[in-house]
Amino acid sequence: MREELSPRGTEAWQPKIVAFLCHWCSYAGADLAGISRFQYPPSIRVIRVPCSGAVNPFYIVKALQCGADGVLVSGCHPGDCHYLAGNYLARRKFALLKGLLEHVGIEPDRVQFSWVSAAEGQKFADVVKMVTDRVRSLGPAEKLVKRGRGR
Amino acid sequence: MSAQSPSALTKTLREFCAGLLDEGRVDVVVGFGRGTLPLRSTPVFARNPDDASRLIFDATCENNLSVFVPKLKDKRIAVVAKGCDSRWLNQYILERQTEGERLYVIGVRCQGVIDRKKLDAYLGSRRLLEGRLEEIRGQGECGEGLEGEGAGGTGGVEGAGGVKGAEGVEGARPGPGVSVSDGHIKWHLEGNDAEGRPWAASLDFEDLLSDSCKVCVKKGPVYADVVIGENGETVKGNGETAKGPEREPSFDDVKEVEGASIEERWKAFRSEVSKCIRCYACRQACPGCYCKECFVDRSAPRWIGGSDDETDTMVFHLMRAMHLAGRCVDCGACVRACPMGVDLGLLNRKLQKDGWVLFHHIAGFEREGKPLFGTFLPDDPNDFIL
Amino acid sequence: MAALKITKMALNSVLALMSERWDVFVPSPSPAPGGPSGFRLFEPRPMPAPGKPGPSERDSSVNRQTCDEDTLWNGTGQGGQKGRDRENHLPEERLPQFLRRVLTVKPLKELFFPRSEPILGYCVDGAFGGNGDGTGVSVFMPEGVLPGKPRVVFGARPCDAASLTVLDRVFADEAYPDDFYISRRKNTIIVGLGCNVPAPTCFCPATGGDPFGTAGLDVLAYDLPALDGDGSSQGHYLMKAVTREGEALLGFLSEAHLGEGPSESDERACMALEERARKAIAAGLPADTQSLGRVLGGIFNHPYWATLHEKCLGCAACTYLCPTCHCFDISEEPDPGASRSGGESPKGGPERPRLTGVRVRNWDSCMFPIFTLHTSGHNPRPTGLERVRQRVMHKFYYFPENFGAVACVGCGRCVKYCPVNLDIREVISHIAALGGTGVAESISA
Ligand code: SF4
Ligand code: SF4
Ligand code: SF4
Ligand code: SF4
Ligand code: SF4
Ligand code: FES
Repeated sequence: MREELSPRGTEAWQPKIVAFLCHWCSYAGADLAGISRFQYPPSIRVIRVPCSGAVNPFYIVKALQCGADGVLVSGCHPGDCHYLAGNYLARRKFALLKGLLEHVGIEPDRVQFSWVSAAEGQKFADVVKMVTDRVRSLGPAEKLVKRGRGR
Repeated sequence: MSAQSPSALTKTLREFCAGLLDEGRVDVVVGFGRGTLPLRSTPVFARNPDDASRLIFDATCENNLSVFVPKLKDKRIAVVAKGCDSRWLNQYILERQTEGERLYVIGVRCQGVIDRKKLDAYLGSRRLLEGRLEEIRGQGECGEGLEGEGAGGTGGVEGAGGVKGAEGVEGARPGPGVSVSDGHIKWHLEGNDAEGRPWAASLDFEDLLSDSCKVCVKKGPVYADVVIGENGETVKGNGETAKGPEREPSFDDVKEVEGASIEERWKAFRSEVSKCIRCYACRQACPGCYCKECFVDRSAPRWIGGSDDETDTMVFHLMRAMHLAGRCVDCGACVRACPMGVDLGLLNRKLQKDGWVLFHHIAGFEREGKPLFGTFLPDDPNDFIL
Repeated sequence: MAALKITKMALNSVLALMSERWDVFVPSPSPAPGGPSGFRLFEPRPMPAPGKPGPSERDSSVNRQTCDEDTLWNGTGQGGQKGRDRENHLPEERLPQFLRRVLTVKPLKELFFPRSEPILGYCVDGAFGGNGDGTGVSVFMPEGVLPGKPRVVFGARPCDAASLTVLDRVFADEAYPDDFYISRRKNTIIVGLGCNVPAPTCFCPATGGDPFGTAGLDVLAYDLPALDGDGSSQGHYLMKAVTREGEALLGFLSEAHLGEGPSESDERACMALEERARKAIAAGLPADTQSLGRVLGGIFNHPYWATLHEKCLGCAACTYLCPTCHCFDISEEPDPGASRSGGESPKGGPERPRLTGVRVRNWDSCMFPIFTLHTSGHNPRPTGLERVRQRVMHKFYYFPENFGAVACVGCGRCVKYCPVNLDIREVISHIAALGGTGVAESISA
């Protein structure tokens, strides 16, 4: 049972993208984008995390299973992690996860990663725009989405 | 099976282990013994010199015995280790699941192990009553194969030539197998068919070889306190682990999938997963799955549903593979344990390939340091990040 | 009609004819190497044109696990075929050859007691506070759970059929009848296929069975090999009715002139097959299981269990594939995402939250670490020792005590598929030997 605000797969269709944003950077970057009134599509559902290193690959897969059309994970630039190495460690996990998902046939554009600092409001808006465009061109997620059996 | 006299390797193994136990240098030897069916072995826990006489080692020794190490309470454990078993023993030490001093590694040089499901596919409706490995001296070319067995089922073996046999179809001869090194080892099989008529066949070693053994990068132990060779000779280990794989890992199978379209891959994944009944034999057979509580069993949060929902099963497979990323040694124990013939290698091997290509990492060669995900380099690949 | 003989060539038409009235299930090959995987719906259909895949989309209205994976044939997923889609389908014409394999990997129980079975659907309108008066809660039967069309299973082995008589004692118990199971049992006719040449793992006689046993069957078929001059290239099936339902089925077939009555020489051939099979299986049987309970009652704390469980990995290969294992686990499965879209509220206000989901009954296994794990964290069966013991005790002691039958039919699946070759036949013999040495008596004394 998914919301259908506008016909799927059309220009007007707004994908649902789960965004895991690091508290120390991308989340603040999103805030800045808001304050600065940079426009970006209302497609993301933000989940604030303490660090990109705290994003278990399972969260990403689970988001896809629960019906997310796309997933964005965004953290501090390499070298800027509040916990020193969280993003470096995350990068390895994400590299392998991204490859694995693609390997089993999930469109690679559905899962994206970015480094956005607290000062990069514009970059945040650009990233969301880009990710949304890519996901929109893929259409609604079908694979891996659990449908459930109830009514 | 019993008619076969023990090989030189097995004889030395027994003597050596009896000695170890007799001198009290270890409390238990985890090894293989003869199983109850043709071409089957079974884990043996030898705790006194007499038990050691049950030990064997040959190409039927398919389990990864290191899986028992975290469960055992014994103080000093000796493990009969193939290359891949020894790599998991290393990995246990790396992951601090046990101390190196607790382990005594009896390395065996291995030529690969059998995949029973390939045997089953080959047998079709024939019954196997006896099987053994035979060394064919001299010109041991192609096997007898089986002459189209009437209407009988012949599953067909994926030989090197990829011959696909089918029930009742003639020409179930295995593909032209490649003999191992210089040995010309053959599987000799005997039994009766669905009509009760006797049959016998001899298959090339490669025909029943587990897939992971075909791409094994280190057939001998990576670390061993002692190595027992094919001819029964013993060599003392030097207390060092091998520097790395004997040969460049090859990932042709992974590349083949990578060459397929995204939809084809999805279809293949789906078809693979559709066989799974979630019995978790794969998880239990893998030395890497030692978590006190597996994510599939967890109820808060409930990571995945317990029913046969297709996506839950897919998530199980994806996350199982991810949990073994950078740790899986490609021993194939999970694939061989799976009763449903799910090709878990499809995911395992992709992660290995990426680990190798992106980080030049291959699991099981180190006892000290950090696992793949426990460390990083500042210049790790970054180009996939926006 | 008490008996009917058909040629193997005619099997396809016989099954097709049956399909008009029944959903017909047959043993299925698997996309995996290793042969038959379970039972699947027989679909009378033309062979797909070469190079063209046949139907492969999921048909979720029928048994999901069994109906489509098996349209695939022997793509091994190994070696050269890795990851590629398999387009080989088993033409139904090859079924007779296929039936000569002894057992499917998955047991017959799946058709009666599926791996996962929704037993209740629910919908809570205005969940999380909603209208609060309970009016928004509805409970219903999920769609497609109970079979509509009556079914025929063709080609079940006698041990699998006998397993139903074991399961009946649990699920068709008078005090606690299970509607799901019973309705499937009632609407299914089972045509068994006797075992001309038992597999090396078979030991049905040790559990009171027989390669040509009729327990649980409506019809028993004999696979008669082709004889010179009998006009068949592949031989015949001789089907003998066991129950009234079976007689009716054969009557239906004979009305369509699809077979003939058996001759005397056919009867002799059947006897010969039975004798040969019994002789073949007699070699290498474990001790008889019917009297193991006496021993088991006295060895609960015997050190034997400590050595036995050591090599067990604790998977569910043995129990999931066992035709008689029937432990289950009930869990709630809320539909993901359903909690937030209940459609517009009648008054045109914001969307009402709605929660939908199903209650599912899944197979459980005593070999799993979380089997009988309490909410408190306590587990009365904390280690492999207690769990392996539970499996053996349940089959050969508790079940006979409670229901008067051994909960093993000797199919040998657990023997064949256990990844560490923990062979239950050996266990049986060991236990019988413990009894012989008087251990049991001395302990219980
Ligand atoms: S062993 Fe095979 S069937 Fe069992 S859970 Fe693993 S993949 Fe699935
Ligand atoms: S995942 Fe499979 S191949 Fe890898 S280490 Fe575990 S058992 Fe071996
Ligand atoms: S315990 Fe084993 S042999 Fe007995 S019925 Fe179950 S699977 Fe078959
Ligand atoms: S156990 Fe008996 S009934 Fe079952 S397949 Fe074997 S011989 Fe047939
Ligand atoms: S007996 Fe074998 S199949 Fe059963 S749980 Fe133990 S290892 Fe798995
Ligand atoms: S704190 Fe932002 S990525 Fe670690």
